[in-house]
Amino acid sequence: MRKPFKGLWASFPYLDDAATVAAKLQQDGSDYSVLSPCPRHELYEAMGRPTSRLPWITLVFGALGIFFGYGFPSWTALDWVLPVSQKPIVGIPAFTIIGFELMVLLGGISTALSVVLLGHFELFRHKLPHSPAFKAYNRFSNDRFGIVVRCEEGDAAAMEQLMRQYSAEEVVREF
Amino acid sequence: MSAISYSDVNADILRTLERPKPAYFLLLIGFVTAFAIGVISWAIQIDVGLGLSGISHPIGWGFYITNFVFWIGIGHAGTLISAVFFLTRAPWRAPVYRAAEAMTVFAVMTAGLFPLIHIGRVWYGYWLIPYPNQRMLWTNFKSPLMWDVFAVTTYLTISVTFFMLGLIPDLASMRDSARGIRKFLYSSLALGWNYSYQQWLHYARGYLILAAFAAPLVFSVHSIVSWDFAMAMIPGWHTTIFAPYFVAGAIFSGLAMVITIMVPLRVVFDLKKYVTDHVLQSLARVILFTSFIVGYSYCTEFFIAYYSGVNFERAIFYFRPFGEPGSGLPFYPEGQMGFAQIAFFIMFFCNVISPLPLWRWKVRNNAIALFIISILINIGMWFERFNIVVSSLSHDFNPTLWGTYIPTPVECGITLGSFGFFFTMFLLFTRAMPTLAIAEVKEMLTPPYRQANHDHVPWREYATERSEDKD
Repeated sequence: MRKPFKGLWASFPYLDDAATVAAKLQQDGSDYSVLSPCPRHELYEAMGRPTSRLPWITLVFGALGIFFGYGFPSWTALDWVLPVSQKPIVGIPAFTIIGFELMVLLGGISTALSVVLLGHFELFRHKLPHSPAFKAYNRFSNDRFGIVVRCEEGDAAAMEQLMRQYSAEEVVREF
Repeated sequence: MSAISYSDVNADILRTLERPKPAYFLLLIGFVTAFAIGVISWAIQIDVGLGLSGISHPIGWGFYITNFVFWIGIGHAGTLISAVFFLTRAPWRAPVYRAAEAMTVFAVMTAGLFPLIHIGRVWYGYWLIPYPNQRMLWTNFKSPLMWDVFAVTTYLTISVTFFMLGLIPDLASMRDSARGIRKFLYSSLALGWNYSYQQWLHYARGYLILAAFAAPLVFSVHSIVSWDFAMAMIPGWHTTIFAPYFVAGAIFSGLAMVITIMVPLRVVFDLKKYVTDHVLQSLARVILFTSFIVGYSYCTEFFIAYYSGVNFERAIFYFRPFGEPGSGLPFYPEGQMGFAQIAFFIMFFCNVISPLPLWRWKVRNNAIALFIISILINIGMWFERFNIVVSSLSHDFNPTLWGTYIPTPVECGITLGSFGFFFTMFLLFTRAMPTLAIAEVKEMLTPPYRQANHDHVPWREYATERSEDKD
């Protein structure tokens, strides 16, 4: 059974307020998420410049593409040998094009899939509210910044005070 | 754009998806008709056979390969704008990149049809792909045509991937403002996007990496297409300049098509505050730059043909502008100008002369002038492809084997149909998806700050650094 969300969420009309709250939560070691209509470096800095493992996935699949790009044509050339004048049977310069294309193909597709999958995995680690109120609130895709904090009921008052201090427009507790 | 708020962006861009004006449907009917003509022409060719086209010995590549190269070239602008200009941080790319990317996808789809049309027996099209067969006979990986299969399919796949990835946040915006069946559709396509920064982090990283992958792909695809020609021993094709020459031509024609599409689009959808004159001017500057590369390449081809001392090379480059050698040239007193010569002069005028007014700021700042020049460039670039493909094949090494090419109505119908297909797809796209990237346009704006002084950054007092940054 899925563990229910416990905590509170707030919306902010101003980026600097949301970034300051995020930085304080990061400093306190709270479990929180930031919602934003577009990526902003202010939020990235406030969250302590988190990193993504995505480049490693791209590297592995890109390398796999190079391996197949050279390996497969070489194998087919050796499987049915067709000598043409003095040209080498395994023509590395010619196969470089296949290697490059497959590197881009596998690397690119794996990158795009990883963006989607890693984004979903993050939801397991950083749960968002499932309440109708949160689902009905559609301004995070428009013009509002959001902070979601996962905490116990006892900490909610302090969290709400922090949000209000930085002009949170709306603070909703969900326990 | 600083006076525009985030909510304005959503409102303005999502408004383009509302019920369009009657002119939209008129245009759509026109393009669907052209597409239908193409489909009928192709059906007739499939039924009767490839003999119905004008392709014959010695000209085995006619309109179909011309169209293939032309549409691949058109398909270059989108990825150039979305990947190369993203990496170089060109600030004017955000308002045009979505439409340019859609254009790329549809242009490459159109181009991909032509090798299938050209092979005649389209049901054997899968022979182009290496697959394990009964006798384990494989395709020749040393052939430029095989490279082309890999290059074009990779380019199409990566272009579609790039396009879809960029669309995800905007689809989520559309989901949040839609109702009914549309909400269900956009929710499915948005893949659970919820605007959390954890998602943005992977998205930004992934987008950057895809851009880094797609940037060399832009230059490699048309280089590989050019090697379809340059690796052959045909006079007029066998030159080392072909790769950069083709790439510059592709960027040139692709950006011209972006202007052809964006100028009416910004008027119809009232997007002038996003697709500003500055954006069009920036596109025009790149067009001017690439037109010079193309013009320089034309001159270099002629010079190298002369300087090489190879008679066959000299003959083909004499034939292109002046016709058959010894026919009382250069002013055609004995005969009439052939189609190849007309094609050459159209190409030269449209690609070298017609962009010259772009040196003037007033012309670059005039959307109508840009629109006219962009159409001329598209015409010129189609004739450039025709000139390269057909004239070289018509004058091989042996004069007894020389021939002429006369396109048939079926080929003309399929060519018309390709334009119909491309523009029909684009018009349908403008109805279904936002033509401007909502999230990227927002990134270009000044964000909403409570503190008027943007140098005051309160979060930095609390921001904790990554562990590796502390060391």
